Amino acid sequence: MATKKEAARVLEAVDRKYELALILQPELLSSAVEKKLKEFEAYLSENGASVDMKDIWGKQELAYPIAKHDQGIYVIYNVTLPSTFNKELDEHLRIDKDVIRFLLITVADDYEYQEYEEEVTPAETEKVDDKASKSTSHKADDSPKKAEVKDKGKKADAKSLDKKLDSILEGDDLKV
Amino acid sequence: MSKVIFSTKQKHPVGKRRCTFCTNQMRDIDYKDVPTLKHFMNGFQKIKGRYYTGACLSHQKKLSKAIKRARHLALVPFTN
Ligand SMILES: [Zn+2]
Repeated sequence: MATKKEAARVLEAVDRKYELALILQPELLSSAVEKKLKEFEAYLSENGASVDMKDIWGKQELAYPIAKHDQGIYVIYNVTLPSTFNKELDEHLRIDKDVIRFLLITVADDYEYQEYEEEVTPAETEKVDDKASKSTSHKADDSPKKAEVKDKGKKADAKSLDKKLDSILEGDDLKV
Repeated sequence: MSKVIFSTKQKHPVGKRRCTFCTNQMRDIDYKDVPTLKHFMNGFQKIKGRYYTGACLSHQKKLSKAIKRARHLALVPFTN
């Protein structure tokens, strides 16, 4: 019968992929956030972990208040950790006062990080457009969708422009 | 990635329902994918049952796990 200690010894050598989501408290300035994350990455590399991917979402509204904060700075990490280290990391993050919430989960070896955009229904886009025309301050999430729409417009324009150019060129040829 | 349209309305009788995740070949459901998760929550922000989502058992379990993770990170509310 294998004891718990033996099982731990078997697990010792394994490196696993993890995804780590942090919510930092919103009062931190951007410079402080960078410093904080640098320190955190140094702490990770000290303990034999490697950072594969890092994504800072920025300040976001929380769905419910956490530790009397209504906003939080979201940071997502994809890391490879030795499997014995995750308990220590849990403890480290739990004690940290700037981290108000965190989530550490294992992911599959072939996991690829994906970004998800907020869905915008046609009615909402109109509203957003109205807001944009009225006030310059709006969410940054809307900009890529608008860009796509603009691109479509550009493509259509390009096609019509090509036709025009062709006709002009032909006309020139005829004239010359 | 092509846009996947989720609907939790019952278009088919019980025997002929197909899981939307299986038909769209989504193996995993990500807790960061909030717009997808919101389709499977009702007005009180509770997780819809299999009778309404039409998901197969394995996908329903993955879905509820993803929603619970999103709740922990305050991406989705617990209650309304
Ligand atoms: Zn399924």
